Amino acid sequence: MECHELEIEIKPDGQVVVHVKGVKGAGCLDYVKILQQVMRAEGKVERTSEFYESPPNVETHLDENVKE
Amino acid sequence: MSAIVVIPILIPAAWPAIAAAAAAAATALGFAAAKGKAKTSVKSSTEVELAVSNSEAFNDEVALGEQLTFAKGDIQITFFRNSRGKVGVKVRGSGKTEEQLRTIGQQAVNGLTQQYAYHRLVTELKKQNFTVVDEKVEADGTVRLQVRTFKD
Repeated sequence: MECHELEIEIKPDGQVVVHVKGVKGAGCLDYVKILQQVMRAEGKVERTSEFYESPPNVETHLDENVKE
Repeated sequence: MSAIVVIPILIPAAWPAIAAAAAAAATALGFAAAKGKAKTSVKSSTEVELAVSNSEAFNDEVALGEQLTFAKGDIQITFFRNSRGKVGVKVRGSGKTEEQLRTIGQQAVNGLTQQYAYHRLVTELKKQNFTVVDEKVEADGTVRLQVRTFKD
């Protein structure tokens, strides 16, 4: 089980800033969509370095025994 | 962290949700619900009106033209939704300049918007199986929420 966390700031003028934490790769865009649906608004999305990391459950295998 | 989302608030809600946010905002500013014909109880010399800029007109909702009034001393703030569905705030009072009333009105608009955002986020994220694990209000009025969910 992975823990996914959102840190939400609701500014005094009502602007909402959300940090999506614990979600590597493009999976965090699912949360962006949820938040946009919840607030019924498009938002400005800034991708952090973690966004460009592979999700932990995606593995790459190279089978060296494969013969042509 | 994987992403930061900055979302401008929209208020396309039904009147009960707006009214709840308005009541919370007014209470935070020290106002209490005005009863009866509150409008006549203020010896009004000045009135200002502010629009909630991101409120959306939803013509399919039936109850338009509603309002909710709160009072503190000689000042009244009225949250309303006009016949086109737009949400706004009127502030009236005696012994205050237009600028002072406008400042109060802007505080009310901000409070309404923040309260609406708070309630909508908490309600909807709970439906998405998030749990609120921490909540605090900063000195500048920013509300910080930490919500969490677990995924396979």
